[in-house]
Amino acid sequence: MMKKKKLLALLLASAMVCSLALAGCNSNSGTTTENPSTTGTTTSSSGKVIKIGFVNPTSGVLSGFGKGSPWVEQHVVDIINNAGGIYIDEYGENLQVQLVMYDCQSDSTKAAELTQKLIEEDQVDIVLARHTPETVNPVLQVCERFGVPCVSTDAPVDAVLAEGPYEWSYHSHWDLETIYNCYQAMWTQAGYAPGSGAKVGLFLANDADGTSWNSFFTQKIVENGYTLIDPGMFPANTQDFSDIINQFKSQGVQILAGTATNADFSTLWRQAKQQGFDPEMVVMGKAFLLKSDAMAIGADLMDGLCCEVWWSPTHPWQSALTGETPQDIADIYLAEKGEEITTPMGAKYYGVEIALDALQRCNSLDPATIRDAIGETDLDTIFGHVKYNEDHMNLTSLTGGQWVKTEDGDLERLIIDNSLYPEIALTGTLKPLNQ
Amino acid sequence: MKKWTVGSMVRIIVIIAVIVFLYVMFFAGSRNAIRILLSIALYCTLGQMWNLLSGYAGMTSLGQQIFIGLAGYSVAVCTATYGLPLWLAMIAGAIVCVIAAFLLSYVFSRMSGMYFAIATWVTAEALKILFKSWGFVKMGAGMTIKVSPYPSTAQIYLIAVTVCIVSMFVVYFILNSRVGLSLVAMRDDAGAAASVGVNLFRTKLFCFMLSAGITGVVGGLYYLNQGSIFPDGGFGNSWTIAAVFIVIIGGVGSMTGPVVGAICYVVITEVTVKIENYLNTSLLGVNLIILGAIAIIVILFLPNGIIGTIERKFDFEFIPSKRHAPDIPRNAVTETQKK
Repeated sequence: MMKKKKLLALLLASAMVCSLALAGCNSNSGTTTENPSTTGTTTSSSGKVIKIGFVNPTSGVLSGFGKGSPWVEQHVVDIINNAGGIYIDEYGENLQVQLVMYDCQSDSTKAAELTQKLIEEDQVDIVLARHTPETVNPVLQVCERFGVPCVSTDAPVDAVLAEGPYEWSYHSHWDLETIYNCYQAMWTQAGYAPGSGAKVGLFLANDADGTSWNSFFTQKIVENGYTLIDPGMFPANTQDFSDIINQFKSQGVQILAGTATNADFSTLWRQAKQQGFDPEMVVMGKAFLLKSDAMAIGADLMDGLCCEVWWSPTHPWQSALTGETPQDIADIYLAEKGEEITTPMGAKYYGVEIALDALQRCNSLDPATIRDAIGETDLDTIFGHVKYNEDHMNLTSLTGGQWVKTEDGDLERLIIDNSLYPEIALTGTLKPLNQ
Repeated sequence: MKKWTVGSMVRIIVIIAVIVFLYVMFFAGSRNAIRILLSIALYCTLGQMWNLLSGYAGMTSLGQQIFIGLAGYSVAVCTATYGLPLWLAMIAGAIVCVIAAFLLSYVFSRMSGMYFAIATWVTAEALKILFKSWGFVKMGAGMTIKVSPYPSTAQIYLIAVTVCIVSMFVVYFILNSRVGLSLVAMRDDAGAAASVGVNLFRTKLFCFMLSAGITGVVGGLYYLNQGSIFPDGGFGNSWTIAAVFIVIIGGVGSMTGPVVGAICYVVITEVTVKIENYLNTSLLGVNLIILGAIAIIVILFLPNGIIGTIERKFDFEFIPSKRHAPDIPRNAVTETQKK
């Protein structure tokens, strides 16, 4: 027995020593997380590479947003690497671009912790931040603290700006004014124009997204002549929405609007159906942007629900950097992965575009020079044109969409409103929810 | 007059060498080394405080995150909302934790064992929900710590290492004092301790408040290093998981135990991330599985933890934390019992 214990103690000690060696206490451990699929590329004579790092919600409640990484980012980087890389003055030669990705598990604290790891251990040259304020804001704060250039996408501008001002970070997405106008346009299409007094029930979690929407939406809904039914923000991951549903039912809510995670909306909507709450229209952000999320709720329950559409394969944009259109990248992804491309993948793509474009223009790895180059971005991307304002923000397009159940039981998302950006083609017309 | 033995001389030299090494790393360490050592220092201090509560005083808390969250938010509110200087914000964080511990003690001190553990855990969960719904702290949106100029990781490391060393000295002097004897007596048999004059409430209160204050400093430093705090992270039970793991792995009731436990914890966490990246996939929760598996193995085969087992095997304490009667050989009692 004693021998066994000694053996075990020895094994544990050995494991610790090996772990310590693996963890590496020096900054040049060289164990980056890049996907080494740089086919047809050559390594620079100096051995130096340009490192772009990002944390991704690969797992956790935001995993739908994390889907597609690092395939999308690597796809864009491969195009540049295959063309010879990017010329950097300090090294006098073209350098290859390498990606470093960590899974933040949809956790804000972990996102900040891993961004620090990207900067201090992997010594990345640029950080990308994406996918909701929960995984954007903490990353930007770390970049600001360490003075590392950061390209940020996919979180409402207002929620990001609230934590500013920014010196090293540049953000691009739509703002609350745009999303409110987009929602209102869909309500108007459904017969609830401003001034109609229609009863709008707000469904918002008390997370970063929800709190920023709350102050804006509560004010605008009343200003525009709707009747606001506000049950208050709920804690994320609530399991019982009976109180909220009862308030909506008793006050005769006609339009259910807001933003929530897929899990929270799914719980609400199932309970609403069980308890007989049937609004005339549902417009919800974030909850079912992705087809996988919509299918998880169920085709029958999803039929007729509306959401915002920030990007789709039918959008008319084209990348000045790679020459690809949204349809091109959607086709390539379908061919390689056998799946439909998702909306957040467009945000991933153009984040890399902005970073690579800045590097190509500044030809330097000096952080301040890269930062200035990002600030001077004036680029057509797969997500639309990007040009930052004095607050380091850029606004992107937004249209209204609706999920419709097809004859074969599948779900299809149609663009049913383009009043804010008429250049984006409609792919369907609004279908009443309860028909 | 204390006699200096070769063992005690070696011990002092090793301790001084480790302290010198930690401070030299401030000047000579790479950014990554400092980042890892900073984590070890913070988790070591957290483990020491949990060990003081559970290992010595028998107060098994599952809610140490109460003080992590309160201190983190105090620093954020003081700096971002009121624009106070960082040092004042850090002190305010510790004071808030001590006051919270004082108030909670009136309820907690009437409980023991499982009831105390559950009460601390429930309080932490309640605070998480409260902070998620409290507009003053921006609800679930979290708060950003606004300090200008922002301290570097090395500067935060310097403070964290100092706090860690000071906390170990504090624990050492407490355990070698009358209070230390009271704590151990209370842990082993509260009734007997009370009957010989140990003031249970005062001893528990002192221990709980001290642990809260230093744990609060850990929380303040951790979130200063992160730059922002959110209710789920600040009041998350991962803090308790970390503290329990660190103490169990290292050795309950040993001052060196949390040091080894903190090294294991940080290294395993770092290695897990590297494995994920090597496999180019997400292994959600795999670090918790690894931590749990190691904890089970250690509990089964090394119930005194790594350091506890080594210390018992060689009858030697790296940092002696127990008072012994001055002129009685340590094995004399055993010999007497044998007779």
